Amino acid sequence: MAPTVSGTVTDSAGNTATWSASWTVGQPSGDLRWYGRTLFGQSYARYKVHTISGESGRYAAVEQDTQFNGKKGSAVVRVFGGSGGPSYAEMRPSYIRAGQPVIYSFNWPNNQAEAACKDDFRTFLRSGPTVWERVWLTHHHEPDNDWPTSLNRTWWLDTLVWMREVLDEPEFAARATQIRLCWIGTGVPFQDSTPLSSDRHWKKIIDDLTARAGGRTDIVQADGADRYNPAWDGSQRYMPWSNWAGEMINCHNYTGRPFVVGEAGSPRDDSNLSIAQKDADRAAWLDDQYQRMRDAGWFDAVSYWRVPATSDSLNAWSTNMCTPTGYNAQLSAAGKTMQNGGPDAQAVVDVHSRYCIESMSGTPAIPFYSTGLLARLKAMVRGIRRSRSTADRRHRP
Amino acid sequence: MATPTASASLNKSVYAVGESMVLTINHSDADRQTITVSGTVTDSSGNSANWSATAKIDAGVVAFTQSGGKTWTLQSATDNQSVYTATA
Repeated sequence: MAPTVSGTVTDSAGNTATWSASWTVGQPSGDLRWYGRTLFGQSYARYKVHTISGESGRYAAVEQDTQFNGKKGSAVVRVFGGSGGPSYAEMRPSYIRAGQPVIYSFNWPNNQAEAACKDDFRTFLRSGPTVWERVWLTHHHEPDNDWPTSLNRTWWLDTLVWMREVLDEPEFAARATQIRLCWIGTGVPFQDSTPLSSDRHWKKIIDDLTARAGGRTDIVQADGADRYNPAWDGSQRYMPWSNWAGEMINCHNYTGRPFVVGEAGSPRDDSNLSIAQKDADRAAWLDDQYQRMRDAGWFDAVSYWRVPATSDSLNAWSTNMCTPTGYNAQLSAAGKTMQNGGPDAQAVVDVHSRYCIESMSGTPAIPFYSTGLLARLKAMVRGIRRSRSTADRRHRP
Repeated sequence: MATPTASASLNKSVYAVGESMVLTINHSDADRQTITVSGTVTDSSGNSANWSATAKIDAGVVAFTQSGGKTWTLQSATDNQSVYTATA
């Protein structure tokens, strides 16, 4: 039920008139659907340099893109932070649409001490409004890509525990309800070929996190991956759902938690089919994965990687790549082959945009859960279920 | 004595978290009026001073019966309108 404010106006004789007004919180411009089913959006920039001529220009180019029936916008936008610790201003630059949920990652200097991390995190939490906008918050972009070289894996696991401990402090209760602490790996932890014993396997990461937290299983509230179709390497076509999402499903079944796909997409395959047919097939693949994620009910957010190559996420755009002309110019100038957009891929763009628009309409259904007692109880129940499930699996032939 | 009338409206129907909410309550009363009483005081020498006083009849007292979980802060008030703000 919508919240209501009401009252009376009373005259000197005691005659009374009543008044009331109601409102909804959570669906700003574009009738954004925040909760319940998957939010589809875009991941088009890494770090802070998302510019055409400035940050707002690049953001606006993507958010104002009208390729799909004149509609525009993302239900969620991914924001990559720098290496100086978390920053509210970095997470929600002023040009971001009011209330737009974000997937935000930041870095701390490797091996920074617990006290420094916690103090820094408290400062970060205090720097925003009392009640935050929705955010999937993660420390270190694709951490499994950086250990054991530039990232201490054990320390990284500990930082998640420290962040949870701070979020549990009473001062941050209101903000914590809007924050879904998570980790988002590369696709490697969720590939069939990654052995269970690998430090990069999702289950080992989650189990090690539980161990670092002294057995506590509710440190993070979502798990995530940057998951691409591996036609990336030009050697395969488009993976069926069972392969592409199989380990994500296993992860969800193991944890009971929602899932975030920080980056999704696929290059064209290397078949001998025509470009048009490859793109039609790619669009059909994307449509299939999106539909299944949406209908699964536990994918929180999916952002689509929308630039030709990594360098375009790191560097300023010299042209507006949301326009077919600009996109092609960037593509041909750099000789890139990984295409998620462009006029030849209009079918792909149309599929993605359709889901973005859909996820920005409708009625919120499921609120975020807090880190309070209810969440603890849920975590306990999940733990019991998991123990039983693990025991069941052990007894399977 | 006439019964007052009142209506309330918010500046938006949908707010983002943290956004400012503006609640405007319009209220009127047929009996509402401002009375001014004035006169003079004159001494035995014929020197006089003027005086006046005003009184509001049925100004109407605005009260909240339900806050919707918000803290509403009065920003301005006239005879017919009170404006409050809160944070979504």
